Amino acid sequence: MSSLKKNRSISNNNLSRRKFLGLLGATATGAVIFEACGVPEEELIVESPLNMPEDLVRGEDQWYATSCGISSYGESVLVRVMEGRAKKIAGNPDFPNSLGKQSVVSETNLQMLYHPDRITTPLYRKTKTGDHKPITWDTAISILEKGINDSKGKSTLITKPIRGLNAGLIESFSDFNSIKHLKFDSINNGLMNKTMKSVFDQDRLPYFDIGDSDLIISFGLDFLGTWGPVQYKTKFGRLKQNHGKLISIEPRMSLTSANADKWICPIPGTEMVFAFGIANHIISNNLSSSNQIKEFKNLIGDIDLSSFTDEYVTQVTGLTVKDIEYVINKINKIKESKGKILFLGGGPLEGYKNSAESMSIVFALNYLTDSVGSEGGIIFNPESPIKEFKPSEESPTIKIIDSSYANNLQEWKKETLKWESGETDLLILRGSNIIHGIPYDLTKALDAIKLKVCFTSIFDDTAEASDLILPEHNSLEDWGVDIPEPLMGYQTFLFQQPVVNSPTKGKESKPIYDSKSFYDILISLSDPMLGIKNYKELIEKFTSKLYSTTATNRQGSIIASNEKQFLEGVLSRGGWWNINTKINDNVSTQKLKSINVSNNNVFNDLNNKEFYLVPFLSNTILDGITAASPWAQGIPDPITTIAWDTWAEINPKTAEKLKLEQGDIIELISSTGKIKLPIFPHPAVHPKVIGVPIGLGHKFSGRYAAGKGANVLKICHTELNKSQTFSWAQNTVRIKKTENSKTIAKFEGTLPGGAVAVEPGFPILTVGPNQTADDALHEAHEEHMEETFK
Amino acid sequence: MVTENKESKFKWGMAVDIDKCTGCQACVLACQSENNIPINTEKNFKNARAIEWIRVERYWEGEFPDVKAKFIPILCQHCDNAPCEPVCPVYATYHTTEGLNVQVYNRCVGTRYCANGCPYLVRFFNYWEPEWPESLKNHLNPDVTVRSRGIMEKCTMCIQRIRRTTRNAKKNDEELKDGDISPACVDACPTDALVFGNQKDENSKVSRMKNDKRSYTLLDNNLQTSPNIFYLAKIDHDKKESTHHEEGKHH
Amino acid sequence: MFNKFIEFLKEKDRNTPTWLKILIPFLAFGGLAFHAIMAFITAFLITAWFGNPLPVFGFNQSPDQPIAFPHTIHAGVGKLIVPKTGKPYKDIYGNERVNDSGEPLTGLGMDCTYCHKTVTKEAWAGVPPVELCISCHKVIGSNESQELTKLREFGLSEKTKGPIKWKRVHRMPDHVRFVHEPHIRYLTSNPKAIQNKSTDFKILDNGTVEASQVCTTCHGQIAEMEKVTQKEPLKMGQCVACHRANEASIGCETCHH
Repeated sequence: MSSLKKNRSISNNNLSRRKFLGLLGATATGAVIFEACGVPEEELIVESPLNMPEDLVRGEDQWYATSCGISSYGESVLVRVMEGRAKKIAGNPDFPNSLGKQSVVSETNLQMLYHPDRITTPLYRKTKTGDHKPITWDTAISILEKGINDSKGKSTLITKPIRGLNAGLIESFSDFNSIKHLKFDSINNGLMNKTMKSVFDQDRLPYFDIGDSDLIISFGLDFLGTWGPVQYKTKFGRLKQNHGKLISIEPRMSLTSANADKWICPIPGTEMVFAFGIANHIISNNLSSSNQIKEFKNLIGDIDLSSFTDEYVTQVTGLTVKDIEYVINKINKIKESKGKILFLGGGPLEGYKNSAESMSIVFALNYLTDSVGSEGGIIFNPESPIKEFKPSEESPTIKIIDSSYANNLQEWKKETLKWESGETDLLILRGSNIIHGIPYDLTKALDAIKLKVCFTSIFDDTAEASDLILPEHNSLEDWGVDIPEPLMGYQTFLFQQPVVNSPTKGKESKPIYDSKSFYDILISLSDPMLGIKNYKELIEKFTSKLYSTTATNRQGSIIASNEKQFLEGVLSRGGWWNINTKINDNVSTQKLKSINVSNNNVFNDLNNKEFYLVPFLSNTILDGITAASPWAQGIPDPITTIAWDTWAEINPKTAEKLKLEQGDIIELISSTGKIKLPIFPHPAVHPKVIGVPIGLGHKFSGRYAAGKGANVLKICHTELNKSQTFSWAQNTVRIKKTENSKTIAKFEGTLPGGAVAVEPGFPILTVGPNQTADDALHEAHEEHMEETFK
Repeated sequence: MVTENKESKFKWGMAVDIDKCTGCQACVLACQSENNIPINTEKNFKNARAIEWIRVERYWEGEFPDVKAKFIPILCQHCDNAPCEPVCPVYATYHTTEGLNVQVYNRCVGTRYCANGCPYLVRFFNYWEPEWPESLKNHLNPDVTVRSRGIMEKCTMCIQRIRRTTRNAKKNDEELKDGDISPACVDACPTDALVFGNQKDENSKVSRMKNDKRSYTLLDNNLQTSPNIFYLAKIDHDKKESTHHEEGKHH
Repeated sequence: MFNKFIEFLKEKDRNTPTWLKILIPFLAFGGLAFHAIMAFITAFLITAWFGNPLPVFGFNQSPDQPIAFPHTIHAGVGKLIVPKTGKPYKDIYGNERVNDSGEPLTGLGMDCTYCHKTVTKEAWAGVPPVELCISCHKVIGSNESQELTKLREFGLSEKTKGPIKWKRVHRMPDHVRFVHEPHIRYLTSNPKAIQNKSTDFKILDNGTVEASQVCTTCHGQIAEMEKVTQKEPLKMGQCVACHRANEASIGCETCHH
């Protein structure tokens, strides 16, 4: 018995083992077969569209020119369209301010167009707290119409700062319905435009000729990152080609500072003193002609510049004499070789309590270096060739607006007080996420408004607080005429045309996104005397006006023999421009009112536990406009390589002192609130500064943005300053440690194998101005050997 | 290892002027949208599984306040002597006659030997089936395969664009000109830091940049990979000219 | 009876437990069945490897389409009769395609590129938009036809208007990017390379052929198909053989990217 048992067990073992192997083989093969045969569903189905898309007629995939939609500077893009679907967005090689290049945010519009959480139908809630229920467009429009008629004179329309015919139509609509029109931008309070008016007497932003300059001294203007059309970046490439230099002076390392030859990091709010120091140096060393000095002094009024000695400047700004000498040496050198020096201001400089004066003094320095109205300096832009026009004989005029900026915080405070007191019955919002962008709480103010209408394509925080949500076309589905700002030195119009339609669903062929054009709705509610049915018609009329006023002298980008040809040309090139309209104006400050800058250098006195908080626009999410796009979220921040999160940048030594490590969650506490976020120590942070990106911290805004990060704007300083603007860059915060810590989603250090093998000069080799790569490699190797074996 | 193919008129190459690279990441996004790269979710980053065929690396130099950030875009170097090629047991990665190192997805069985062999860390493995919400599939590029799970992927120099442009030139009986073909990253780069072209054409921009005095290649001296991506060194105007490099040459 | 059988089993070999004795025949049959299944799978794999897979388990080469579009009527030339049998074609309902007097219908002989517009210009041949179908079928075709009623629902009726989702018939293996344009361009100017030539194959005076003559090389005689079927396996071997024969590029990157 026992022997048999033994036998059996052996034979069983053998059998089962063989069989097991056989079975394993079978299942494994099976899995492979079906894995390999699994074809994605979309490849199995070929959809024959209902109507013939334009590109199908030609039989080739097409590239159409239209407006970028995300950029607020009026950039033109080309969209690759195949079988009626947008596939790729690239810069328009023809258009003056893009020249075939695209800024990183432009392409995220593809994902906004086909966003899985894009609103598909109008939504309405009857009660303040109820859920939004789908309604038909007819009902939605009638609710809006009734709202407008019931609240004449007690209604407000909020849009982004918009220009061109688009703005003209909005103005005409709000005038006819007596609606107040406000323009919203989260941190931009229009200081740049106001400075241009007070310093250069310009009604629109001039063109900064970065490419032809020899030295650029930028006080925070992030023209390589989040500010300006992509052409400024292209021009930076040219500056580099010409061996021009860039010095950046700001309290936080932006992309511009990262690419500068020298980054100088003063205490936030003290840049003005540094600028005065430079002025003092230029004047006392007679680096300018007496005429230029006179112009400068006319403008800035009576101020004793000689008091801004190096000692004083270092004492206030917290910089070293070496930093100041560096800048001064560079200025001297360029002046010797009669080069151009360009002073620019922006970014955090617009967000201080003394912003208006700081901006003015920085831009006024251009008078001292003779960079006003000349190549390599500040070039003024001409006004639009058409200032207003009438679509038909009897209709009211429509203005063509060539410059626009947002209302400042004072105006917003006044406005929201009005809402709170019940003086506003109707609020129409378009593309402005005010709940996220206005630094203080709006709940009470919004609650007091009877009807809030929101034009949007993503269900964001502001849409959630609205009663009527109207899904708006994406910019790739809509018409438009814009005037880029800043212009490139000559008259330009940007034309936007629909390049795709919404994909359809089911047998009913209902568009998945049942959206309408914002402008078409405005026209339907505007003065019937305009005599137009839709925006396309208005644009056609405008184009014929443009043709008759400008094209008859056979100048400009489109030479056409008739209006139709002209329209086709304008649409295919993305716009109209005329390089013969450059102006060579110079400004004399004698006509200007003195800006009377006093040394009102305001910086917060800190105690040991306090820090300066400097928020900044996120590289791809900006102020939150692209937060819904997974591309925008998933592109690492250039400096920290962090994605999908908000972080606090802190100096490693400060972090060490506070016993904080990367990923530790801290609480930032200011006088107006607190937020929780992880810290990220890196060497390019001032020991007393904490940098936090703006853009996240949405409650809604689709699946990719909801609940991600924190909104730093809510803890910013909201007291009004002398210039009545939002001083978002001048905050004092305290750090409170929490027990928690988290892994930050970042790209750096995630590569397989950990790190790239390191050799001297790898991967970034630096050469001197006249050195060859071989010599530099050799030198790096020598240094490396010396260090290793010393 | 590739033997020079005399017949092909082309040897593609790219030059990267680090002096002009601002680190803006436009190339990264352009690449993601052109090549149907899966969405890099927060989880992907945290698991160190994010895929970027071209990436911008940032290096710190010095300490506050004399700190500098330097950027360098790193993509597949398309080495003539590629370490990834000999290690593949199924010949899934190989060299074309036009000097590109390409990945044949059909052959790939996912051993990941190539990624381990690559000193530039530019090969990425699909640990998961790529996922897009239904509506976002509308913008996928029909010219490029969506790679499934278990497949190694990397920069192709936008071979679909190279093929399309050469095909169209043939169709219209035209000669290819320098600058006609541009991968998505080159197309997007705002400062023109990236330049693509034919190295066999001596007058092409990429050939001229390759022969520039600032030109160097990554890790070539140590590993003899002979890459086809040429970097132009960053210029530091304040760099002190070395005093001892003349004597250093004798070592 | 049963008890007797059990007794018999017990007596036969005392050392083996009874339950095992009962189980053994079942195991044997199970093994046979298993091997039969394996053999079937192997056969399936072998056919699939060298040609088209057997039309089972959804590996059908001619799926049912939302509208049974007959290529015979549209693209066929001359009298519509099945070449092998000489009888008229039957539609999916089994009705013969004949006119009132019982004669087979005459094919319209439409050019392939009339509907598949992009085939000579782009990567994909393209299916026509419903608009194009409707441009004729607004008036042409009887109201009684079920298939045309479906088409008109897709294209005319405001309520049910919409795109048609055709099922793909010709499928390339994974990771292959096939581009029609250069193939059509080459074959039209080198008619010798064309295979499965159709009956009305005609070389023009300048030695080229019309674009619609070359489709047969990979798609077979589409004009003779009541329901489109993938005739050629379209495997890599076939591609490479043709590429070699015509001295086209055989680098992997040519198709796989």
